[in-house]
Amino acid sequence: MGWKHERIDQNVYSQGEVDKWVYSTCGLCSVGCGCYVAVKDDKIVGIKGNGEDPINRGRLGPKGENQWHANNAPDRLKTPMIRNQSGELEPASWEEAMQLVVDKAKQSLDEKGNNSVSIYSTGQGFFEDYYTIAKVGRAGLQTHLLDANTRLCTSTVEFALLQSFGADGTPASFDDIDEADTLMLFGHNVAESGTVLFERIMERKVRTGKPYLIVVDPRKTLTAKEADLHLQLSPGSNLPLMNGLINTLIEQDKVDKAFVEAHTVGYEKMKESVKGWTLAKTSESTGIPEDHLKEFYRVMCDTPSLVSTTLQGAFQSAEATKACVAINNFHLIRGLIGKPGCGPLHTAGQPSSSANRTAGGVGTYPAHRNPTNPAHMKEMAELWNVDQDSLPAGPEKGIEEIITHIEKEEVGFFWNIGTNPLVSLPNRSRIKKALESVFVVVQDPFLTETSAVADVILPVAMWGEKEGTMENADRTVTISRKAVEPPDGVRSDFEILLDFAKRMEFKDRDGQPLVDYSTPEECFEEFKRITKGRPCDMTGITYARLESLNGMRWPVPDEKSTGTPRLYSDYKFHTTVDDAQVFGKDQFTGRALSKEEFREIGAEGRAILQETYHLPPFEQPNDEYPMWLTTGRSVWHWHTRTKTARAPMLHMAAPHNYVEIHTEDARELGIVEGEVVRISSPRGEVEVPARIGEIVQKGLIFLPFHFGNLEKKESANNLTNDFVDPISKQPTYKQSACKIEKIRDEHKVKAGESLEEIASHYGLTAKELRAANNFSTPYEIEMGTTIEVPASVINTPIQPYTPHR
Amino acid sequence: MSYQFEELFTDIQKDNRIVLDEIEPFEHPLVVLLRSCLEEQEYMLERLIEEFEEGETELKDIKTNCSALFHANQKVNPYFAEWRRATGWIGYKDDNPSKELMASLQKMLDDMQDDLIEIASKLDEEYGESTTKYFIPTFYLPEERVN
Ligand code: SF4
Repeated sequence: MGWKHERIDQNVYSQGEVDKWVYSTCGLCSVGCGCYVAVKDDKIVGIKGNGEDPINRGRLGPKGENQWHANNAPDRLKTPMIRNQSGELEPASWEEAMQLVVDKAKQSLDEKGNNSVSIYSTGQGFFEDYYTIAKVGRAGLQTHLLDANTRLCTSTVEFALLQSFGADGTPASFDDIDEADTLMLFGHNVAESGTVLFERIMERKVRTGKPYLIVVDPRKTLTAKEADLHLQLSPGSNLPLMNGLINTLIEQDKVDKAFVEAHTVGYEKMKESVKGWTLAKTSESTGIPEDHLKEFYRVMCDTPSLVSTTLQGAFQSAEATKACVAINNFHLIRGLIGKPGCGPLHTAGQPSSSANRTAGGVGTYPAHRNPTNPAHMKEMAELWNVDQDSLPAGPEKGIEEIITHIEKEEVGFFWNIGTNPLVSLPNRSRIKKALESVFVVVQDPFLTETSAVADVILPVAMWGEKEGTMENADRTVTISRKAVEPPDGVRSDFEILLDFAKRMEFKDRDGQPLVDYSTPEECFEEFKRITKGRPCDMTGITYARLESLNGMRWPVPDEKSTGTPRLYSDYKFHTTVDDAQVFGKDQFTGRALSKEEFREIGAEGRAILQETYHLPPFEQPNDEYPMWLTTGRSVWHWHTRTKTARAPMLHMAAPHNYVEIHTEDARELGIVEGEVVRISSPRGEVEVPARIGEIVQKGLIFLPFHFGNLEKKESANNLTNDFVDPISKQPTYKQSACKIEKIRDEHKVKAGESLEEIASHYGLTAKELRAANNFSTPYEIEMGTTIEVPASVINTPIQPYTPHR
Repeated sequence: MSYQFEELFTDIQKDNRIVLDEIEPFEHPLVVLLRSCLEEQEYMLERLIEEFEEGETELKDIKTNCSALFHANQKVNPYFAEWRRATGWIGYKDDNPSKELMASLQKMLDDMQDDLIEIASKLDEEYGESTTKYFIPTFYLPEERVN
């Protein structure tokens, strides 16, 4: 099905024809649009969509179209930097910088042990980077502390899939969206986060009326505006919504009993956990009117095909993993999985966060190997030709746990690759203090906010300046070719990792170099061998095939295969003891289970229906902080704006941060449009202009998380709490408590002064001044009265965006 | 050896019971999780103490319970730390726990963890690293070989 027509979107700035177009994949979001990079005079000068790529058929979104500007930004780092004795960063040679990195890593290993070295990487790299991080981290440094910003992005995807199906890998694909009668976008504002995918959905909907679109979101987002049914639930009530739905399905006797019997275990326990979630209770808990819920139940219980997608509204919320597991449960008990147009499709934010999980740079071992299963570890040891006892075993540590280890002075070396934690991690003041106390290496193309705590900075190549493979949100593996050489003085992540491995003299059991490949393609060939026989088998993938077929979805078990659009069409799940990627966690506390406990579940190739007992959010509005705060994205920016702020069009479209406040809340507080207000939480404060309207619900405010300048009070993560989901350990950014305060000057009215005159003196309109003082008539001021004047009003128009044409 | 294990597990059990009693009045969602983990620890400790009371034990008789105990404890510490932060943010007032209570709970949880580290070290000596690493979390094992 897919797109009916191609449309080649293009954004090129070149005098005359470009010299060449180089095959690539968009490096911004997890949709993974195919594209070509325009090169002229050895410089990237633009981009165009790839009309042959089934994902986008030539289309590009605003972020994708403008990403190349960052490559040419004048403030690219072109030399390593080292912090000197007086605390200043100063340029250094690669030799000096790498030697210092190696010395400090060795010092930490010697003084504090293997688990004192931590690599915190990214979801924006290539398979080849992640696999090398896994090999260097696990077999070289032998550390347990490997994590990535994928913890903030998709660790809930991984754990929801592990809990239900035994292995990572999202069951449905974008092709299933094209065939589904019903599409539920659960906490997934795809119109702004994955613009081209939303266009693909809407292109079909406009043409055929399908799919019936259900949007679950506490805000009236651009996505929600196109919904057939928008469920505007209260913050933190994702799981109650799903529990109510499942309970209804059971009560209406619409469970696919044959499917449940043949292909699942755990039905009775799961059923018990949703008992009591009546229509009334669900409505009260979610704030959704009963008639909307009834419509939701009607559609969901009867639809012949259903795809449910999830993103950060699910992953970064209270009970993240349980809510995603409840979605899996629903698909299983309706038998809507493994068939065309059916299945959960837990997506991702970053372009290759799924690849980091698959490659083992984060979480489990490469190719979905279980770090608690001695049989898998034996295999890994043989594949890497190392001693099995040297490989760290057991469940992973998340970044928030690593921060705790740093606070306890147990970590001596923190290597930060391709991520900006001083903007992206919650409760920023805690993170800053922790990272100031440890030796930090920052690997990035730019001086990000995190450079403030860096001891060494290594400048790296960007998209278009290096070659490698990625995995998008629906398991499609893609290739990005090198279009130009990186600027002089800049190296790729891959080259830096190889250099580090060499300098550290990591050896295998025979005394040969542990890392003996030297090109990305050689590395991919090694990784491919590691995947053989595993759920993500890539045996049939080559760089050449990836380009000629415009990507393939794993597994690709041999060279005849063109990939697997849909998992579990044979209803065989990865839940036998020696296949499972992990032995699972307790569904309530998140405690890791042992092999024996996993065996007792008795899944043996069947899917696991898990219990989903509800627990309220860890932080809720209270007397002092009476508002809910949620954070999220804007269509114009991506993550911490390292790239998008350097694209003139994107920067102009949304140049600074703001807070969305509901009209009624603004009226009650007497806040006027654009007024700079102070938002505070127990962690910190921001001062940003108000955008008043009805996108947020009453009692909730919204701040984009993209802005994080350390000098300004604008970062959403000054405010957020740093609680994590019990199972996935993903921070719960979406629910914090906060308060709004006005920042006002006072003006004493003089004789004869009119409201208009006073307003004009402060650059306001009389209407604004009246609203700011809650005056209902123009006659409420008289001489000697003190009135409040907003200290600052900033016009914050955001360029309108049309999500589909 | 059996006696030493029994003694250590009994020490932990005592602290565990006190912590459970002390947190009984509180209902914060993080306490609900903390309590669940402590109750699981209590259950596993009872089984393990029974096992060691019977004399020499084999690894197969204690491995699953030990694994559950150590992994539950791995969750106890972060839940307590999160609850402590949450309480600081809400304020030590009204029905919330006092600062003093939090400090004394922390002390007991630290003692519990120290005992578990000692047990891990003894199990490591007895059964060898190739075995213990698959049922005891890394950070409880002797520092010189944490993998
Ligand atoms: S939708 Fe995502 S992958 Fe596609 S062009 Fe936009 S940012 Fe790039």
